[in-house]
Amino acid sequence: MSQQQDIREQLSAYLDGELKGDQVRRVEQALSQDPALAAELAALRHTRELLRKLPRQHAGEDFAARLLDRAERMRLIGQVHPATRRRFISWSWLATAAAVLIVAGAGIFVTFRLTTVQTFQKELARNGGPVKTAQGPRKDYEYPSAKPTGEALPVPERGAAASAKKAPGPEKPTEELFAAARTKDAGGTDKAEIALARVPAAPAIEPASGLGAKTLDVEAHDWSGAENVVIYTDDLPAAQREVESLLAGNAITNAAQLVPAVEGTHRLAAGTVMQEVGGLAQSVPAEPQANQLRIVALVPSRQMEQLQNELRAIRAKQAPSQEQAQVQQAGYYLAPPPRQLSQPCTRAGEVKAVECKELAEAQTHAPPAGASDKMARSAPKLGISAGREALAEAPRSGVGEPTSQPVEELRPLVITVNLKVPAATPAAATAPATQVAAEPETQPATDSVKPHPASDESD
Amino acid sequence: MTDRASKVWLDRPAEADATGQRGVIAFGDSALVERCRKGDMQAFGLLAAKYQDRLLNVIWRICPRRADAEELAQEAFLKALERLSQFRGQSQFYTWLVRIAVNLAVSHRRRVGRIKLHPLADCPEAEPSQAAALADAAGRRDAPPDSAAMAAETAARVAAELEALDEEFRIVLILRDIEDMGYAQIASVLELPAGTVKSRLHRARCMLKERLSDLVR
Repeated sequence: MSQQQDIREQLSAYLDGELKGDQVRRVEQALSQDPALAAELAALRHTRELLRKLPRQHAGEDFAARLLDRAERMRLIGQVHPATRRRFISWSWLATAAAVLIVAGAGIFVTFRLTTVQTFQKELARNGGPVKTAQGPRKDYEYPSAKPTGEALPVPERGAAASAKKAPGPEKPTEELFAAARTKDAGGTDKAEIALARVPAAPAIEPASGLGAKTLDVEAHDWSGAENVVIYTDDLPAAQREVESLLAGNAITNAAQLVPAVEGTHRLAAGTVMQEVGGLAQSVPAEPQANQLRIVALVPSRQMEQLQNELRAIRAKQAPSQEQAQVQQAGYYLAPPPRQLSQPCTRAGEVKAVECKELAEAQTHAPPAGASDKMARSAPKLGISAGREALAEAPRSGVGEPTSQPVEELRPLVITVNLKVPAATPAAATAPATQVAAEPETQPATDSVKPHPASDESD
Repeated sequence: MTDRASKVWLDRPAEADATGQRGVIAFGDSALVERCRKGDMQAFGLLAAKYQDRLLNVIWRICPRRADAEELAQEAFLKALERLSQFRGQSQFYTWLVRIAVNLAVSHRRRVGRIKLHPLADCPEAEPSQAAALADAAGRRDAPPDSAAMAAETAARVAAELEALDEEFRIVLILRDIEDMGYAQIASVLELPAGTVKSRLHRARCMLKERLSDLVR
């Protein structure tokens, strides 16, 4: 710092009389030699005078009286009655201790709940493979709902390429999951097994030889040749319960659930029964909302058509068209695949369309053989309890029952339940009618379905 | 009570004096504090009457809203009374009291945010006393109305520029140039080294001088 700058720094202190003898002399000498420095000192003095001339406030006349009143009240609490103060302090300590206890209790409760859920999941993992909770999306899978709207769901690849992909793939635990479920009873026959799984990827391709194993290894079958039924609904869980109840009522025990649009993966151990889906839903809260549900099942050939019709009935119930609503009101069972009727109608023109409608109604009124009994048993009993009851009956009539009959051919069936988009476009509104029929070469058509807003959020 | 009267009281010895100004029996701060410690509320009232105006002005310059300033002044006195047992007499009672008041005012100001100063004429709640105080401070009770108006305008401008300064600079200016505290006292109030107070005060004055360059000759 130069000497002149040092002198400038001292000007305020000189002005206020805060300098000592030597410093005062140095400043005065500099002031006498430097007019600019003297002018600056004058400006500082003027600034100080302006501040000193600022108006002053006077406290109100009752200031002291009010202060004494408050002080008296304070002293009454704090000094004149020390016992009162002690009581106050002790109550403060009690309140603090209570707050600490409440917080600690809440922490213990939350920890216990988390531990319970994790224990449940670990138990599942011990039986069937790793369990991933909904803490974040899987790194090895890009969820369809995370993709832009309208982008296609992953379609399983065929042939050696898919097999080569599968071998080192991250979905290996799924095989272990279902392998662990291969249990046999005393007679050497496969038990009825239901493997409920939520796996992120569409099933991989394998030759159909695994169908006879009666264990639903979703990665071991060529699901691209499966029968498909697409259901649109406003209430995904209700539709799921209906489908599960229907499967249970038909003793279709080889079923798995695929939920590719759900963040996180939950796998139930193979061999656990279907109704544990409900238990899982209760045990794992805050599960993200899905906009699509897929259930794959191995269905005996003789039951396939019947089951498809019953699923269409569910579809009509969940998303009834005008005609289907009329049929439902009339109490009839429905419904033939619209595509079978649409071809003659379009070929025959408008007049033929009326006849086709009549034909459709005629077919609708005639339920498939044996279907009404099944519906009477299963349709009124929706939900997990119905499935549980149906499962109890399954060994007596289902495919899992130990019999001496030759092994039936099992055909894959993919049931896709889509959550309807709230403001459906005309194309989306007509989608169910064009996707009902079996589409052997395609995955269940979900491309035209926009993801539900909630699922976008959850991803 | 004028600032000069307070100054006289401050300079008196700690022992009980005979009589004070304006008919109030004056005691030194130490004696009053000691009586307060023994539960003498009259002594506390004397301390309040002695310093209420000075304390109010310090707070008012930090928190320009009159009602807030008065409430904060009361809070400062009550806090001082509450903590009187912690006052060891190592500094003057008033310095200790101002430290409490400045901390309260700064906290209050940070809590409610910066408040813009308005011209005196726009502040109805403070207008009568401020106008009278302005005339008193300027010593121009008999001056023509134009001069009083100009003085009021200048004062409002200075107050606004002071308000615009950063807090650390504004407070040292308030304590020094308005409250007339010495550097050592300011250092004690702000709990800063004296050298820091010295340099900060010089910088604050230079900044204010620049802001008031059209008024400063």
